[in-house]
Amino acid sequence: MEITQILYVAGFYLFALVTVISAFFVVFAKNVMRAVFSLMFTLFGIAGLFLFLHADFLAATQVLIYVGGVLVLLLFGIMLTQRMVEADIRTGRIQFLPTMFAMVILFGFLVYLIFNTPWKIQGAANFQDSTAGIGTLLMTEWLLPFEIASILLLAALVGAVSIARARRTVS
Amino acid sequence: MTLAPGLYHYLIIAALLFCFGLAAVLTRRNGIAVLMGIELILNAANINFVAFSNYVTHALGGHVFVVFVILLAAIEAAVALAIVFAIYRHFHSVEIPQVHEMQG
Amino acid sequence: MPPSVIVEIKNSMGYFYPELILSVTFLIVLIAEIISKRSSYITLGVITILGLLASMFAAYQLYSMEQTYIFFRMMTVDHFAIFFKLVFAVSTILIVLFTMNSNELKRYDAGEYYCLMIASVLGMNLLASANNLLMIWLALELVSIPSYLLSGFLKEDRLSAEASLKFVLYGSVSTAIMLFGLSYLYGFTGAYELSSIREAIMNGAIPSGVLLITVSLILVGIGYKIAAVPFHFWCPDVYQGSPLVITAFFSIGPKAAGFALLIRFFYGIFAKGGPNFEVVGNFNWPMMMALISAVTMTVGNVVALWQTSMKRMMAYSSIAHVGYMMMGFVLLNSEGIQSILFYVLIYLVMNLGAFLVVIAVSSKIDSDNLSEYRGLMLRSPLAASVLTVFMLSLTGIPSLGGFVGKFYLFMAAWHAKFYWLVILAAVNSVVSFAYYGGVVKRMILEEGTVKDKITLPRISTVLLTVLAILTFFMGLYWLPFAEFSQQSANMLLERVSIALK
Repeated sequence: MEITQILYVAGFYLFALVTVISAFFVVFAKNVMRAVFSLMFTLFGIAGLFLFLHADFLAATQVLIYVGGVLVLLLFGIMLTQRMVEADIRTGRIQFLPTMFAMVILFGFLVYLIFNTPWKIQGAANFQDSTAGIGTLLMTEWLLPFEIASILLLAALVGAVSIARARRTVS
Repeated sequence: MTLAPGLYHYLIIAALLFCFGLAAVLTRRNGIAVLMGIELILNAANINFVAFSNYVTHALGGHVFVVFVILLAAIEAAVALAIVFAIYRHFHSVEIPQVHEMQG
Repeated sequence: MPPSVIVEIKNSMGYFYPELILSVTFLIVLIAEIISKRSSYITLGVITILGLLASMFAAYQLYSMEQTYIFFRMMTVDHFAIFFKLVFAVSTILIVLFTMNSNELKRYDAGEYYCLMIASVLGMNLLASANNLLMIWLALELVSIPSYLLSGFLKEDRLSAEASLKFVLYGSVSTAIMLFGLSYLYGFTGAYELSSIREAIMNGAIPSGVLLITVSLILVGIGYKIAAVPFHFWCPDVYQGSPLVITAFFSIGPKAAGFALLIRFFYGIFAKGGPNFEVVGNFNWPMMMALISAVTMTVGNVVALWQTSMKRMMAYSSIAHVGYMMMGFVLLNSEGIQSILFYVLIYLVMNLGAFLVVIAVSSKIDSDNLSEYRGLMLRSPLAASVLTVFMLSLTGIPSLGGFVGKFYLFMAAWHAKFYWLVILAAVNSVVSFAYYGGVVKRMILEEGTVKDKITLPRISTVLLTVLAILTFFMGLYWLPFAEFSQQSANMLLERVSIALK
């Protein structure tokens, strides 16, 4: 194999390992702060996988919104809802063993699903300009969900601010 | 399954993330950790969509779906965190077993 | 933009007026809240009701237009969808009227409350018409996310915060799991619209085990919305913690929307076009649906027996009624769907009626505590007698609407040869008399400690009388409602068969 092939495969496995191992720590890290930072690595790993899947716009969006938005929000949430005196935030696990067992079985089902379905694989695609393509689709075929999503955003914004702010009674 | 990445590799990664996410939801006590599990599940679905879009359909429809999923994940995180703050004001804790006054 | 796109959008707009009106109402309420100095539940409530009435009128106009797909096959506009749009609008108008009378929410901002409610109703409208996987999921979230916020609206109340936390976390998990299932469905077929997915499933050879896993994942989301077992755990806590009016809102709107989605989804993807629910793949779907129905109604009825909180009792009662409604789902033939739609109408009247009584007396007694209902007959004869009517109707006493609704559901299951299910449902109805009747007994036969009279506000009196009369009416002369449901159900089946040819 040529060097580019080797690099390609090695890069893929690198990102895949980063993703999966960080996800493992999200579940099993006792310290919630560590879990959040593991989630950050998972999200970055997924962005890398998107690049391997020729989804350049999505990779950028993932980093911008998920890592830059959602993760920061989660971090704020954790910092504001723990007593700052304790650095080590212990979280326990309830009913640990049966759940792990059930998850292994579930994974088995999913693997069965993945390997028994006749996927119509056509080989890797090569999207020339996915950003422009996505933009066009959002304005033509997918216009209705686009507009509905904006109403959802507004409603969620109004409601979330109303719930989260300090109590204020109506005069 | 070859060593070179193909559809199956991505699907397996997504399935792993889904199981991890579900495990986080079911076993973690901290409300925000449950939220992290939800994000893992959503990302697993995203990987599925993009992988199918790349290998099966060769169309950008999957990508558009993922845009909406990312959007909704952000909205849900914001809403969930607003509610978590409200909980914290009342209970001074976000551990789910401690936030359990209703019985039956 | 290519001209074909503009033409499509222009043509679709004509069918979209109900949702457009709701969106405009949403904005008007928001702006009115911002520019007014004091937010008033009455003024903003009137605006909301006007908007809902306008959208009802626009939905009624849709009957005269031909049934079609709009917005690039994102949505279907058929009589089935219009039925549900009208149901959602009517139930929300009643809820808004309840809100204007209730005292619980007076301290909080009205504009945000109504905005969230309108957004949720908009989502329900879209969910009833959705034809595309993304539209389904997005509409489901549009229904759910405002609900999470509404259930936590009593910011000073611990229980309300707890209810909304549980609701949001477990609701988000269930929609995320559903999304994962939808992603596999996209992968099998490469298509987003329900009709294309059905074609692809029929042409391709997807193993039934694979389909089972995928549909189970999707059912997690839908089952959570309608609170079917085993996804019902959120229901009692959320119902108990939420404001009383919001509990009433949850008991009818999102549940009916979930059923609309369930019927459309299953019928759209799996129906082979025959008169019955002949399904692709070898798995015994009717039996699985029957099992879910049986377990749901039994769990709901049995656990309701030892509740001491009215709201929790009503939560388990609604779980049980979802179990009854799923009896009509067993074969998904015309009879089954019609019985579900018919029961939605009757359930709307009797359930909202019961909640209205609870809301109306909540200013004078702690109406969540069942023992407070003792001797209510002496204190307010109107409230007690009307509540008796609704409770007996929910049990299924003949000559009231509930009996007729259950009769149709029983017939549908009987004709589908699920005799054991019908017998179980009959036993369950008898069991339910223990707790519904318990409320009646307390009101009429027992004596309370406080004996002063309760006078209800005039709007409540009028509404209660109307709803009670309707319940009797539906019990004695139900033909118009039955025909309405029949027509709506048939339209769905016809369009699916047309699409198959």
